[in-house]
Amino acid sequence: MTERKFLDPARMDVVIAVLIALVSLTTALAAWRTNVVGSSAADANRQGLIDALKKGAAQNENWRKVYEEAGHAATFAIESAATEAMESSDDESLRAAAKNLRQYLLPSLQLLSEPLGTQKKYQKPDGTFDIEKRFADLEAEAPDMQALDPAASFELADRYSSEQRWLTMGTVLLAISLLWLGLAEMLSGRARVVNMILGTGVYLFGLLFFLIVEAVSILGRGGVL
Amino acid sequence: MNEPTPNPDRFRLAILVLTLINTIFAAALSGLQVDANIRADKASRDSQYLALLAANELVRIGHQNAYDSEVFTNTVKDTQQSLVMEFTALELEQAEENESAARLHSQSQVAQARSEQGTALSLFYSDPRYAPATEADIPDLEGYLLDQMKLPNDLVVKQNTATDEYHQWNKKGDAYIAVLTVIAIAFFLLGLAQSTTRLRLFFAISALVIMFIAGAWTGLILIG
Repeated sequence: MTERKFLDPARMDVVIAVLIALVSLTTALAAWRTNVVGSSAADANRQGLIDALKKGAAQNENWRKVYEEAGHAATFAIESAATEAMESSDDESLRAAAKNLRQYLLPSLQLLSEPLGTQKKYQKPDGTFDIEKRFADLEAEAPDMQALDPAASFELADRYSSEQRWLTMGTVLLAISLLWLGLAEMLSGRARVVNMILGTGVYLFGLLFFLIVEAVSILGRGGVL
Repeated sequence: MNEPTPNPDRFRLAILVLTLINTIFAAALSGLQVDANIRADKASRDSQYLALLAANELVRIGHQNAYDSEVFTNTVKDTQQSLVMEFTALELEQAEENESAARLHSQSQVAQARSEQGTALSLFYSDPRYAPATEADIPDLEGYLLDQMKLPNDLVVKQNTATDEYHQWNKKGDAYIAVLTVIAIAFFLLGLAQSTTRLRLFFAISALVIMFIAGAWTGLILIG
């Protein structure tokens, strides 16, 4: 008696229609969320490329500055050595020229070569300049540029993309459940009940799968949606 | 006399099953298409990033080469200037022009001092990878250039690989879209088969053929 009441076609029609509406709504929401995650991945990729461009431009400028300083420092070192040689020369005119060079030219060259050519920390034991150290110091002078981390943005984008993949699978499961419920609406008798149970089961499994993927992904990003 | 009336529900269940299979196929294909697009996007991003890194490295190398070669050429020039002056001073000494010889000798020493300082500063003499084995040899300029270009060349190789990967996945993604369109035709035919009785079998078989073509095409894309 109870089973017959439960299987009443009119009642089943309403139940299945409500289920179809619910599944359609959930599928639409799941598709929306999947797209949002895809957009977040694209945003993170875009941010990473922008950061890489900014960082690259700043590094190029620093390299230019370092090698410009190195050029001046080399000139200062070479002219200093030449002046010393002139000072120790037997030639009176060279000694006189050296005096003027030391007074007028070398201070200007020294000023240009600072700090690479003047600070001890930039002198390598083999006599060359520690260009890498000077570059590192210049980088440290701009902490905002140093903080730019394209790799971190790319890693975040990859996480979003991975989530998007799994969410798509969840959405597919939800869409499949819709088909079973559609069959249940068309069929009658026991076949209808079987299809309805199957559709509801796939729907609940898809929903649970979707929610687990979301929870794991959000936790993995430290709570960021 | 009495012709049997055709059963209106004939093959209807078979068509429902075909629709179900087609739906699952379409869903799986959508998943594959999303996956191909994600992989294409990632490869495209990597390709752009590596191109940027290679370009930046070339800029850095340009600055370094300009500095290294300037120090080196000045050093060579000073060395040769010093030698030529010294030879000339000796010639003048032999010609008993001692005053000019002494002046040139002093100038030669100044050029030599420049040359020695340049040698100390130059990577081509201080770095054991490029420094000449004897005084008569010249630095290993070829080795220097090869070492300089190694990193950008490696980056360009990786960039090319990423670009190829991008094209491969992008092509797959486009092909999946084409298969999805074919599947939509199968859905249309299955819908027609549901609504008609007389041509039901014809439409159902047509849909089945199209589904088979779509399946084979998907297989080719997957292994391609």
